[in-house]
Amino acid sequence: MGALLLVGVLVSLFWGLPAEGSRFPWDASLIAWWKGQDFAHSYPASTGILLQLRLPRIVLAVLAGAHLALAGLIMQSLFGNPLADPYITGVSSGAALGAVIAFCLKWDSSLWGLNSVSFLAFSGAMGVACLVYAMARKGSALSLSHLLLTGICISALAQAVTTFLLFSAENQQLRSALHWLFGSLAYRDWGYVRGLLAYTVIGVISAFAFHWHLDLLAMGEEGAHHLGIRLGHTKTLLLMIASLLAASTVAACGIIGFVGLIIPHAMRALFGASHRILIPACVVGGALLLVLSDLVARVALSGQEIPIGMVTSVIGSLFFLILLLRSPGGVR
Amino acid sequence: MKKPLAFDAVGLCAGPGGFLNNLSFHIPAGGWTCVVGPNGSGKTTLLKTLTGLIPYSGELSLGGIPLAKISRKQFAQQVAVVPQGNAPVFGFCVEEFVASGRFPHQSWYGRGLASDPVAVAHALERTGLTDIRSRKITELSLGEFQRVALARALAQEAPVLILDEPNAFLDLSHQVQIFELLARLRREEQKTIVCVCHDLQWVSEFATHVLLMRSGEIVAHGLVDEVLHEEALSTAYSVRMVVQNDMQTGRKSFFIPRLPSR
Repeated sequence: MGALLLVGVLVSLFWGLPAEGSRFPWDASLIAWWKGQDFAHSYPASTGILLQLRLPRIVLAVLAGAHLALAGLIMQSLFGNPLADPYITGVSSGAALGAVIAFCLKWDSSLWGLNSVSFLAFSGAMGVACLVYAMARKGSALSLSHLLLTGICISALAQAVTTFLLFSAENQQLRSALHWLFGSLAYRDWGYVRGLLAYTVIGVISAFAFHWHLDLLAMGEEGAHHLGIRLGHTKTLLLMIASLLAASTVAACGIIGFVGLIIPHAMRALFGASHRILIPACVVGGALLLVLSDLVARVALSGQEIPIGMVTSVIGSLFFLILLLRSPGGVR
Repeated sequence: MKKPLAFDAVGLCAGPGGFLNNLSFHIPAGGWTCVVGPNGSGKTTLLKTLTGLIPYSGELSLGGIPLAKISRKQFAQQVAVVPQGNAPVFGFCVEEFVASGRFPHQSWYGRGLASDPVAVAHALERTGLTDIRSRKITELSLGEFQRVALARALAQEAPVLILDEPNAFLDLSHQVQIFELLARLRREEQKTIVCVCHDLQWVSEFATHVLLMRSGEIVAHGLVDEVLHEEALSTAYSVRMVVQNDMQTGRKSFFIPRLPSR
């Protein structure tokens, strides 16, 4: 898996690189290496593209893919439901509402290193997740079915307001908002990578520290209680980790569906259900899917990019279908 | 071997609308107490209260220590539970599921004991699951999963074992195996066993004590012979029951006399 990710990153990094004077623009680096030339010296424009545009974009794809897959894995284990995804607590609806407000207000400023759209998207995502959590919690107990239903209700409300704002937006605002809502990694610089990296470190370390708890919850909530897990505290903490991972990703890249649903499934089919293996597998698998999806989004149509969310859905669902057909007992 | 533990309750109230009403009882250490009664009498609610799943008022203690003063992890080291329920939706293999019973003995950073693999292998062997240790639990029948759930509780190596209908979904031969295994655990390891069971025949064969319930209240509580008599059973089940004692074997038989409508 790790080797596949490395190959994916390298292909994505060099594919479509304009080599000045070369008839085969995508392999400019290979030409430079073959001729024994210094790449940066021979191709100054390509070096700029590589370091300032391409590399941060690919690193962002790696982090965002890892976030979404890990958040999806945590949500599925927490809810004991293979259909749960990172956006189940309304994170995506909250983020969409925040981002659309920013577009409609034409608010163009920067807060704590984030542009206004990312800032409001993150605030909206975490705001809705916290609201859903507060409404679903009764004393120290947290009912997951309440959480799920509250999430559906609050998401529907947020979506209604978002639709109203889009309906009353001007053409240019509408176009920008829709482009953001479909998800994209284009024009993301190192600032976005730095912003996301802290959440990656916290998320991966915390998820790994809780891999036993995730195993027990995935085996059944009541059983986890009988084995000594403090359900209220554990569920709250895991929800917080998954929500932060999803919210930070949506704020940086827009709404990218399917990764958080499909990757945990696929990794379970390949490596079993133990979270000790699943957590690193999901991190790498999610990163790989998003790197490849971003490559397809970038090069499939010449002259324009297609939404990455559309690509993740196509690649993810095809991959999932193949796994389903090949597995005699189905994917679980 | 761990010291056998007893449960004590005084004025225990729990469940929706205080369904379990002012219960006082003693579940003896090293005994096998069966909780019996008609559907909806509060048997499962009582087990959930004993295991800390639902809040309660009144006094409830384990080994003389109030339950409120025992942490979740300490409780799980003392009490293993086999709840009613279906297999999880995720495909853990049988061995992984049984090994999760060792969680209460792990350190805070997840380090297990050296004896963990032996405990898991022993639990698998006792429940006859060694041959299917690599199978996914999602591929098992309900009866097989019931044995896997019991194996996980055995791997926990707790002095108290609480089971909600351990013979549900099992064929007759596996019912005999499971009940004989529980009897052996009580005899050889002095485990305290508390279980809900609907079959009075099994109860009279294996249990030492019975807690007979009806509508959230205790109808009778004590040794098997003191509780399983016609009057108490007829009151609890709201149907006339006949109990026959075989003088030669000392075994009891329970049946409902032929109904007038037949």
